[in-house]
Amino acid sequence: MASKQRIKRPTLKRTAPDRRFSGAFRPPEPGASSPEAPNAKGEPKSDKKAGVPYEAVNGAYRLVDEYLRQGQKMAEELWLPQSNGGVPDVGKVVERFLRSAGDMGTAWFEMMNQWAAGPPEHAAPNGGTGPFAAGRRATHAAGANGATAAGALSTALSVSVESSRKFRITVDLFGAHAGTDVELVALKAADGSAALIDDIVAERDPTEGRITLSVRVPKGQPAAVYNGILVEKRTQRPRGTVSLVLE
Amino acid sequence: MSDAALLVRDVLHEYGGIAQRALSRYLEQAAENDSVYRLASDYPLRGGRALRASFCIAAAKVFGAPVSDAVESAVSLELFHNAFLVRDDVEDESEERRGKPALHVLHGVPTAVNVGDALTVLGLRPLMHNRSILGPELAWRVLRETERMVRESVEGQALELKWRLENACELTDDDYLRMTLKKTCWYTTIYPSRVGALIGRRHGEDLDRFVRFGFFLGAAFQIQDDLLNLAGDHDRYGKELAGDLLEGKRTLMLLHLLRHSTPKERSKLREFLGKPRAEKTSGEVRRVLENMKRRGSLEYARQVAHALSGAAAHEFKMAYAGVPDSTDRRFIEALPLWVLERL
Repeated sequence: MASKQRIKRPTLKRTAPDRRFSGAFRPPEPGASSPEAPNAKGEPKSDKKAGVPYEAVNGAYRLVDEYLRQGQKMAEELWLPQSNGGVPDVGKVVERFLRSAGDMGTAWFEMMNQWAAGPPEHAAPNGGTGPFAAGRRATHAAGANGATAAGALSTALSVSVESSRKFRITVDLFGAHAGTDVELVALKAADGSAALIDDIVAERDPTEGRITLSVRVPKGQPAAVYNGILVEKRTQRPRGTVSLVLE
Repeated sequence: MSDAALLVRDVLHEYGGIAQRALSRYLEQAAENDSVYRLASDYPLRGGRALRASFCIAAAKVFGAPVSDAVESAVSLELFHNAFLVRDDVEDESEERRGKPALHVLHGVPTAVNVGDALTVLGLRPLMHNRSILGPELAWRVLRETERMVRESVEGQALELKWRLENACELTDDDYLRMTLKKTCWYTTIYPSRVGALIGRRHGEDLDRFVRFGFFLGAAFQIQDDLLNLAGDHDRYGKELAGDLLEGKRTLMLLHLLRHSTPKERSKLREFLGKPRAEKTSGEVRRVLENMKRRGSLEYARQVAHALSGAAAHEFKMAYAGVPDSTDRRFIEALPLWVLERL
C-alpha cells in the first residue's frame, strides 16, 4: 500500500520583512518588456516609463549584497591568523597597503616598528596575542663578514653592529617605547667561554628622540651566541634583550 | 538653498576648517624638510569642501566621540584623497583641478607621481599618531580599515583604466556601480562612516551596515559628479567641462547612450571613445553630448542618482537607528539630499 504523501509547507523565500528601499517601488508587470529591448524597427526604446528607479536600486542592492558576502569571505581569509588567536603580521598589512598606494618601503618599516614596540599599558586583545604587546616581536638583522648593519627596532631605537664576522642580531623589547632612554652595558657569551663585548655606545638624537646603540665586535672575538639586557636608565629596569650570534 | 543644504554647508565649514588646520600642520612640518612636500601642499591648499574629513568627524561624534578622537583619521583621509587626485589626474590626463592646472601640467608627470607618493606617506603619519590618542587596539582597527580603503580604491581605478585601455563598450549599469563602489564610495562615504562608527562606538561590530549606506550615498554622489562634469558650472566644478568624455570615462550616461544608440551611432561612438584624448575634437564631444540629451541619457542618470539617494536615505535609518538626535546625525541624514543639490 502506497503511503500517503505528507503535506508540507513550502519553503519560504524569506522569513522576515523585506525592508529594503527597493520594496517601495512596484516591480515591472509580468510580461512587460525590458527597457533595454529594441522595438520592432530595431531602434532602442526609451526607458522613460520603464521603472528606472526600481531596476537601478534593485541592481544596486543585489550588487552590495553580493559584495558584502564576498567581502566577509575575503576578510576571513585575510585575517584568519588573528581570528584563530594567532599574531597578525603588521608588516604584511602595511606592506600590502603600500603596494596599493605606492612603493615607499621605509614607511611600513617605521610604522610596523612603532606598533611592535608600543607601550605596555595597553594589553593586546585575546590574551596578549595581538600586535600591541611590546617585546613580542623580534627584529632581525644580518650582516656579512666585515659589515656594519643597523637593525631599526622602533622609531626610538636602532642598533648598529660592526663586526668582521658574519652575524645575526635579534632584539626583543618589553616595555620600551618612544622616549624610553635605554642602555646596553655588555653582551656576554651564553656559555661564558669568551670575553664580554662591551664596546657599546648609546647615542640619542635630541630632535627625534631616537637612540642608536653602536656595537663594535673586537677582532678575534670567537663565534658564539652573545646576550645582553637593555636597561632603562631612569628606572634601571630591564626593557629588552639583545642577542648577537657571531658565526 | 534647502535647510538640509544649509546644515551641510555649516558643518562642512566647521569640521572642514578643523581638519584643514590639522592637515596644514602636517604639511608645514614636512615642508620644512623637503621641497617635495611643498608641492604636496598644492592641492590641499587649493581648497575643497573637505567632505570626507567632515563626514568622518561627524560619524564619530554622532556616537559620542570628541572631535579630537577622529581628527587624525580625518586628516589621513584628506591626505589620501589628495594623493588619489594627483595620481588620477596623471592617469586620466586631466588638465584642471579645483580651478587651476593639474599638478602634472604644472610640474610634469614624474614630479606629480612623486608628489602622489609623498602625500600617501604623509597620510600614514596621522594614523601612527592615532596610537597615542585612541590606544593601540582601536588605532590598529583604523589602520586595517585604511588598508582596505586604499586597496578598494586602487582596484576600482584599475577597473576603470582597464575599460578605457580596452575601449570596453559592452558594460552594464551593474559594472559601473561595481566600479563606483570600489573607486569612489569606499574612500568618499564608506570609510568615513565605518571609521567614524569604529572610533565613536569603540568597537568594530556590525560595520557592514555602513557599507550599504555609504554605497548608495557614494554612488549618488558619483553620478551627480559625472552629470556636473557634462552640464555643470565650470567655475564651481573646478575641472574642464566634458572632460570625462575627452578622457573616455565610462559613466552611467555613456553606457546608457551606448545601449540606446543605433548600430551606426554606436559604431561612431566606439570609434570616438577609442581615440587618444588629443585626437578628440570639440565638435565630436559636442555631438556625443547632444546625443546623450536626445536619447535621454542625462535624464536617465539623474533619475538613477535620485533613486540611489532615496535608497541612501532609507539605509541611513537602518544604519543610525537608535542614535540620539544631534547636529551630526542631522548632517549625515542630510547628505543624500545634499549630493543631489550641490552645484
